[in-house]
Amino acid sequence: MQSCLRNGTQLGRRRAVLATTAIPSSSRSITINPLGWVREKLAPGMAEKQSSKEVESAKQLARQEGTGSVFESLPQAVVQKTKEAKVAKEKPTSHKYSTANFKISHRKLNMLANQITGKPIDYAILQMQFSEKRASSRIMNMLATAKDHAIRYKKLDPSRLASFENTAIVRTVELGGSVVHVTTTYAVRALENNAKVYTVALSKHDRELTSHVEVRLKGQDKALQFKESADRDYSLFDVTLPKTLSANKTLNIVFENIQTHATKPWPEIAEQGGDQALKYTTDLFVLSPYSTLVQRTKVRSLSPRIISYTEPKGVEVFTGDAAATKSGANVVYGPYKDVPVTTSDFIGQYQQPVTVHYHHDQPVLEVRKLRRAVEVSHWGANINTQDDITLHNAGPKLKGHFSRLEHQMQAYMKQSAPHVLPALTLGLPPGIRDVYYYDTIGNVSTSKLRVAPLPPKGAQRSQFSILELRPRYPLLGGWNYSFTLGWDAPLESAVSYDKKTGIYTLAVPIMTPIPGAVVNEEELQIILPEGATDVNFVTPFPGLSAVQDTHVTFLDTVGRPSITLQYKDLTIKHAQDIYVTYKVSTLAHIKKALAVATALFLLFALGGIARRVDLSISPKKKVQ
Amino acid sequence: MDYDATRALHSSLPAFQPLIPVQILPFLALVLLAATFGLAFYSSTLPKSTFPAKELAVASTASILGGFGVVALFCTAGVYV
Repeated sequence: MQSCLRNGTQLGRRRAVLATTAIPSSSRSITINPLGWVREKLAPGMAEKQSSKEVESAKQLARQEGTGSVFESLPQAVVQKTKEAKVAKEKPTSHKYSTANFKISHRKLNMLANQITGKPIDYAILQMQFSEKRASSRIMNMLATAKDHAIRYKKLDPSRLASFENTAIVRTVELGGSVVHVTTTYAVRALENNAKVYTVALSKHDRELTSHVEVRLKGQDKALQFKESADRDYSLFDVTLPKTLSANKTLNIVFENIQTHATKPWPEIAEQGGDQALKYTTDLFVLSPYSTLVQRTKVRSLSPRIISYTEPKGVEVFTGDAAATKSGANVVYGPYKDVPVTTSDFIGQYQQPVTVHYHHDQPVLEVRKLRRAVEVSHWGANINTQDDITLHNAGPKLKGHFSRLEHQMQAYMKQSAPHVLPALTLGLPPGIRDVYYYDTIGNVSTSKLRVAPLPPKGAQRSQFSILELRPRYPLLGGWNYSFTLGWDAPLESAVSYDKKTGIYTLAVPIMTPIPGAVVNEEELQIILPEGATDVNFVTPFPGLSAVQDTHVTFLDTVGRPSITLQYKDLTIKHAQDIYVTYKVSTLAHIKKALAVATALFLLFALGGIARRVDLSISPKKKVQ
Repeated sequence: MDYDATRALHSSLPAFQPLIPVQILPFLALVLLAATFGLAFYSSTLPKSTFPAKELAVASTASILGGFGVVALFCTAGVYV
């Protein structure tokens, strides 16, 4: 600083070092203008603005003397203080800070800057601490102050101040009909000790399509805990690692999410014997708050007939040769090297949607509405499950009219078109009896059931009963079919009893898994026996709503407690059990028989009264 | 309540046992309803008196037996109440 003043404005090259950590703020820099200083000291004193106190006292004095101005005494218009709508301040996501100007060669400074650009803050501080360059100590102090200010004043989360680096990201997209399975594997390297929380980012478009998220370490089954926070353009998932990671240790984190309604049929109409083609769109780059050394996206379809895929543009910086390659049923986007932190600038410049147009050989199934009612009976030791299903074929709509003749010929030749659904196979629980299947017209007899035997209690339920349903008519693209499917099962398979506490525990499967189909809306009603008290339930994942009310059915006096849960966008991964606990006292159990007994007794009493009522017209003559 | 704890509890606890075994419910229904019919018939043949104590006693036994019989009948018929 002293050297500047002595030598004047232009001598020596001053460089101010600016540091930016991933999210917002103002820059501060001190400028010295010696001419101004000189002018200030030597020029005649300028009139200084008086403080409001001095003004007030002067006005008061003038008023006392009688020399006050007209404007002081006239009534002034009252200004209504309008309440301004509170504008929600956006939470800052980055903080900028810079050093003062100091003299250094631009080449020497750039060398240091390239060393730490895009790196996490702690890594950068560490590098500058042990660097031999003259500017490194100044830069280190600046970085440390910036980090401190960011945490202290901007309230940035210290655990998220990028302490990881992605060595590789591989995203595999498995294309299906209505369900798309996206698995992203992050090979992560910790850059500082005690790294505990890793953040995964999903774009808003992807998050809206996602219905199930699971995070685990590669090779392990146990799911990791994560906390989600949604921003304007993306969602962040803070995953808690099972063990803290020390510096330079690597880890593989698998992030699985299932997307529903992500594909659409293209062309949107198809003939009865025509092909079915779907389009899937996703973003080219995987978002991440950490920098990535190499990333790759692999899009896989079930059949190798891929019609087209978009070639990414403007990404030559990241890739040497082709940005996208197709081999068999796979389209690989990448590998893209040295992808920096995906900030909004990066997204604006490089991120682009890529679309894959592919043939799909199975019908795209959607269950528009599923209504499942599960009724528990303690008297009959029976649990009845009834599904009201509305099936919809979400493939290309039928062009022209449906020809039964053509359909029969196709069935005969065993060459059914990919978007026609003639039959459906469902996996029902084992040990069921009295299965019924009817629709709005009546009973449907075109079905075949093979019941699996009930395994002993506690054994893993491995076998399913197979039910092959053949709807009244084959489902073409855009067609709907509603039907009711129900069955009874022995209560021993679903309820367990704790003698000490008297609590019954009931396991209710949320849905029947239909492979490759998505359930748009589900309403699950669990009806417990009459007189059940202390009703509690746990769900494997949260639903839309849960309501407890009363359901009245045969031989009920006050009604049975029932729990109604609503869900949406369920896939085969959601086919888990809900556990309900409740108590039924023996008296409450017997109450049903006593209610019927009371009704019968009333009948007998009426009979007794009827006996004693004389309805003869003339009095009976007594025989003498 | 913890989900995993409840699931472990559910698989470890003994299965549900009904108060009256389900296999004998049809026979129980037959026996109880026959008894109800018999007792009802008998109570209708009893002489009329000012305070129908015997009639009421027979009628109440018949109704209790009938109550259980009707519930057993419903379960036998497949309407698991």
